[in-house]
Amino acid sequence: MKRKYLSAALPAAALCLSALTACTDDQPYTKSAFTFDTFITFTIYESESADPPEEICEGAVDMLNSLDGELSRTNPDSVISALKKQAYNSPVSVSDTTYLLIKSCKDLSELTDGAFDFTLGEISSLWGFGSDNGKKPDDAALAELADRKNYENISFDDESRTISFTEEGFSVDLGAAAKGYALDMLDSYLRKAGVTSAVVDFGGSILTIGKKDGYSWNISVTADESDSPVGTLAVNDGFIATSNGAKRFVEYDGVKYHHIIDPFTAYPADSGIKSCTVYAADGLISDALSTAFFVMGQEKTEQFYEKYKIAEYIITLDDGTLKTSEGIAADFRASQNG
Amino acid sequence: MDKRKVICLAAVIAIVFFSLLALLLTGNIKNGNTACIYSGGKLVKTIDLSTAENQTFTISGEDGGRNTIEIKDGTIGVINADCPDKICVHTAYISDGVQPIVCVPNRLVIRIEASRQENSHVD
Repeated sequence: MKRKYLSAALPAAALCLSALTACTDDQPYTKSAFTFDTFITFTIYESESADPPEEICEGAVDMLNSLDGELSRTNPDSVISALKKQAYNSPVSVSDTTYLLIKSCKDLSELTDGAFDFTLGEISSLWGFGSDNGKKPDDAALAELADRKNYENISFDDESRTISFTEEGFSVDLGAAAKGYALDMLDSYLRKAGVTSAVVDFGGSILTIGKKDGYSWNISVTADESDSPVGTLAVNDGFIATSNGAKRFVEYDGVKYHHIIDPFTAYPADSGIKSCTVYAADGLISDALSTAFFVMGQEKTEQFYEKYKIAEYIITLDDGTLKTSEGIAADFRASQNG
Repeated sequence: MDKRKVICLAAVIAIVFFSLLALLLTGNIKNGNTACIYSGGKLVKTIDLSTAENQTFTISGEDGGRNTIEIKDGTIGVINADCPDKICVHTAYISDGVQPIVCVPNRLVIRIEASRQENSHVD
């Protein structure tokens, strides 16, 4: 049975007086939680499940917490930490989920010729993102770690589901991929649970399922630290990820250094792109490519798009100019002040 | 108009009046932008931004984390925090809420809600 979630706030007295309550808007079920070192908000409009939406969302958060336990770079018991400690000496056995993720990340690193590189853990540690007591890394130390393409030094054994490193001195950081992959898993989970219309905001990355009251979702696209959208994107099922350095940065001697590293320089990317939003049918692709395009810059992004056409983009350049890929241009409406 | 019609009309007017009254009293009619501050999943403060005076105050979380919040000219933002990443401080002030202000380490959320929804939960 298809259920719509009405506001529980409707007072019993008003319910009896049906003449007016018929005008009250349907309210979706919403639930927010902290997980994956970020904040998630589920908004469920329609479900065919017999299970209540709170149960579905709680199950989803449990799944995300479990995945975060495997993928966190800061958790000493995670698979990522085990890879750092052991993978050069002996193959590390990982879950099917992590195996598939890291293998897909290697494919995406190769596809983007290293613009998306998930082996920058040591560089991120040097910069001290997420801590308030670091100092600016030494130029020579950064130069030593730049342009290494360490993803080429990861080997996989499909039979034993093990991962090995063929070189030392690097570690995996899935900060530009894990959230997208988690949204892929969330998409499967919610659909299997019977959800037919929902939107999930996962720390700014968006998953949309179905339509909203028969219409496309209008998703606000932001490009800086404010919540003023540069425009709205009309989408149906899909994933939207945004990369920019507006909120996550460290400051040393009054200079801001954002967290999106150019693997070729080991410094924060400075490609002329201020913010990049990517829409794709796959969460991992949208997440990884939003970072890759931010690193590549406009020209290489356009070339990549023409060659592969696996995702659509909205780019805000440093001077505020908006560029959209042709497959999405008709669905994007720029703000009047954008 | 006969007496029965007058009674019917009066009854309809009374129903409409009391329905409106019920909706007003229960907050189901949308009013100004209200900033809702959640700490550790609990709603700890609500502020009507359309009437609030400029001010600063500090919210202390269950784990001792502290965020200093400023209300300024109908907007709300975090001006200081003891969290390591300072993402909440780097987020611009909000007033009509496409995105909430979130401090993950201190489990703080500031969200603008045009009308309070009872089936909205923050864990």
